[in-house]
Amino acid sequence: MRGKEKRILIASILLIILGLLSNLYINLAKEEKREGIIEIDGKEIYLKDIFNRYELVEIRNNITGKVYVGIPLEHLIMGAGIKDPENHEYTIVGSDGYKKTVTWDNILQGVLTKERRVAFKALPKAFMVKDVVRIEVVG
Amino acid sequence: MKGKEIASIVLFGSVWGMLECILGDLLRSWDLPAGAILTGVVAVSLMTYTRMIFRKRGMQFGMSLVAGALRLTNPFTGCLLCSAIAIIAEGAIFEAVWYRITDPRSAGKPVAIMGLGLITSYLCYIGGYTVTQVLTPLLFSSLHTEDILLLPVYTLAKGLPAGLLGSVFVLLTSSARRLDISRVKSRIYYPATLALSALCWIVGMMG
Repeated sequence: MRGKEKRILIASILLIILGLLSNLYINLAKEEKREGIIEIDGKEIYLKDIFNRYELVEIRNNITGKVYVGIPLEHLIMGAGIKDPENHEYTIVGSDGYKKTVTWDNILQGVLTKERRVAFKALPKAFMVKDVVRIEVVG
Repeated sequence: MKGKEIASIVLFGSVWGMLECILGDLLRSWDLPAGAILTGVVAVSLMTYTRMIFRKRGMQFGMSLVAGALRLTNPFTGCLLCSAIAIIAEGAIFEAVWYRITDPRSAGKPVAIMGLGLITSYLCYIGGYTVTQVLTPLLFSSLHTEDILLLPVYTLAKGLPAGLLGSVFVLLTSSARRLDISRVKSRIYYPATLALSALCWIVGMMG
């Protein structure tokens, strides 16, 4: 086997190992999704209560044009008793650890769907965290 | 650079850009890993084919500029600027990996060609994904370091399918050398590339 061939094969095997280890890490670190419960600033919120209490609203993402139906995120935050919500930012965390931090203005334009996905009117897909397990209050 | 090479940059860049717009949306609506498929199949195959046929450095970066420009005109998915820059990053990474390579067969046996495809596709995906994850929050909100602490792990995990697809498609593309479009006569080549490129732009923009 030539040197070049050997280098290419070693590099590709290393990349495959790195990819497998990363996938393994993500799966091991995956947070268990607690059925019907979402944590906001350490408080457990029962989704059934929230979905029963508030009316579903429809938002259209103005980038993709897609429509999402859910409860306004604002109600979730208020329901958790966060004081001065406009003075904080919010980190939305998915069960796989994927997280995105948004402002209060973004929260005002966002919904949580029944599939536990957040969607926003004016933010691109990268912000639409799936399988939300908790929302952390920042600052 | 010769006329045919420039025409091919426009043609293949337009095909790439159109597929990013049309196929990307379709794959996402089916919940398939659009990024991995677009990089590992579309981008890497088109860039490998043109490098193998024309043996010219820089062509693939040129194609990525054309594809990125077309992506900017499609208003329906995500952060347009981020997507366009991600495509251009893929072109630049391809050029870096293939700096001394004009023919995938120079890697050696088929298994080494597959290895070359895996490395190229994996690195292109890593570049594109990182650009998107860093640029999108910067443009739309603000970048929080805690949000991207695990970015290298996610990128490596999500890039594996792209790498594996790339390994297969570079091998397949390397066997398509008989389909040498550079041998098509100029009087057919130029009008055909112009017409096809225009069609790609219309389809991509209407998307």
